[in-house]
Amino acid sequence: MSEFVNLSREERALYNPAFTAVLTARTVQGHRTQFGQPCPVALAVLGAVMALQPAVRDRLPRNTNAGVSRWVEENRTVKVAMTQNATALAAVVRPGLLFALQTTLLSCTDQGLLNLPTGRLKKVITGPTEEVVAIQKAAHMLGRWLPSTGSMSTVMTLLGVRP
Amino acid sequence: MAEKADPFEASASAIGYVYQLRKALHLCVERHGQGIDWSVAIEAGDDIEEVHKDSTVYYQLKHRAPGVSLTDASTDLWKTLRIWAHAIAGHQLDLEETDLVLMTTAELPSGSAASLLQPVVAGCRDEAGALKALTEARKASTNKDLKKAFASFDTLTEEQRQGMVSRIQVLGRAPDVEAVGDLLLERAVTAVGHAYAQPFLIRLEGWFFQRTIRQLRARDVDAISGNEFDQVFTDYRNQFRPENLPIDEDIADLEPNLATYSDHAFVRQLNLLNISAPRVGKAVRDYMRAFTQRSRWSDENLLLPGEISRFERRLVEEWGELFDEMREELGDEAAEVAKVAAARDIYRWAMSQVQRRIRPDCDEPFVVKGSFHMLADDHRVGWHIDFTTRLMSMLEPTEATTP
Repeated sequence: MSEFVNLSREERALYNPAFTAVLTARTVQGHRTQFGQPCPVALAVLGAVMALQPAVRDRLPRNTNAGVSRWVEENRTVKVAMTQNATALAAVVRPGLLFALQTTLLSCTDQGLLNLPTGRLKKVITGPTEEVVAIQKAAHMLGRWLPSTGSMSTVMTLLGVRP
Repeated sequence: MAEKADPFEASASAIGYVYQLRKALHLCVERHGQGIDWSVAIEAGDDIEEVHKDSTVYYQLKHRAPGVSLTDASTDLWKTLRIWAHAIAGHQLDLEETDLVLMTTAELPSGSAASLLQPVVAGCRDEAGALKALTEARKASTNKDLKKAFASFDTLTEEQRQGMVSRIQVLGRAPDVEAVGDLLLERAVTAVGHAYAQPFLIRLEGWFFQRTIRQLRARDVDAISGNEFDQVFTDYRNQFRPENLPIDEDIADLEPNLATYSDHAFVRQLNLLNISAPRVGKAVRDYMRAFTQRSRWSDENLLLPGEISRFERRLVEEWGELFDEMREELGDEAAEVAKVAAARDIYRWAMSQVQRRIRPDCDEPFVVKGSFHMLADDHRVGWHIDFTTRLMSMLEPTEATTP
């Protein structure tokens, strides 16, 4: 997908930069809760991309104890969905990430890692519809969970995508 | 029961009706796998009546709260017996060819008449024992509510009673309304896969409810036959294939209120071409249908990310080629009449000749036409050569008055 004005109305509503900005921030927030460290850019984008897909979101495990590789193995449709949708979704998530950085919702360290400045995003996840809440919760969960398996490159290889 | 707590409380009966419909749909789905030589009707002979080539099954359904038991003296049991006994006494029911099924979500206490009338596979069927238990319960009971039920039972001869009992099968602990919903969803998953199961089932249930209402209101409409169900089921399933998208009937029937759209840019674009009111009306209708259907596809996640944008891009590109050609042919000095005539050509092309489809099998015309109007509404396509400036100048007076 190219410029925002060329998106259809439906897509402009769902993939607007303000919302995808919040999603990247939710992933960063989740990452910090679990690991207490700044979050890699690739993870912030990946978390948002995965959270936006119902086929992935609905299959996420309940807690972070589950192994990522086993989960991918057991839910083969996840990989299929990622292959089909990840490129298009990354194209709408990236402007969101930029927007988050421009508006200092997120900040970037010298090493190129992402931080969520204190007080910029409430911990309680709310939203006008159930879907909006569910997507944010999924992004938060992915931030906490995805890196638990090892390096980012392992996770991405498992999911069949690359940054 | 509920009557004493609140005389107007009807949630139990409401659930009962929904249960009846869902169970009937579930029966159809189950039978569908076995062939098409059957029919299912609601409230025809019984709660549900299922007819095969040479046999009939009458279903009585009872949806009860968890923990309720179907005892020998229970109202559910006797009211059911009353209906069947009445039909037998009135010769409306041929015991030779009819199975009587009482399906309840309640428990069947061990040794009770109901438990003795379970299907043979349960391993405890004892028709004589059940009839004895029923006769004893009838003698012992003083329940006034069941007076009519007992009276019907009494009118049967001993032989008829034995005949009736021999045809009865009681199914206890049947799946409740939610569990039947889950069973239906399982079937939907096998038909169209996890991603589309829910929207598929919503449409199938919607059709089934409408169809049942028609059958109940106009008694001359036939029961749902295996053939009809097969057609509908296959049709809905095909709409969820990767190369298709579902078109919802309620949307295809939408008729808009024209006045509310007169200020929209796509209508103003048509006014530049002097399009007649009836044709503008059709444009508004297509716009609204496409808008609603596309929103619903998005809401139900039936589209791939970027799919609509790609579709729109193709429409815009095809339109762009024709538009540029028109610009060349008209030149700078064209008269307004020539401009309008050329614009009408492009509009005619967009409404009748565009072959693009959002997916290869989704051939509903309003999707393309309405999408063009949505693009025209966003000024991304236009018909009149000067549409951009003309639409802007139309907006100016309003903008000028705003401080």
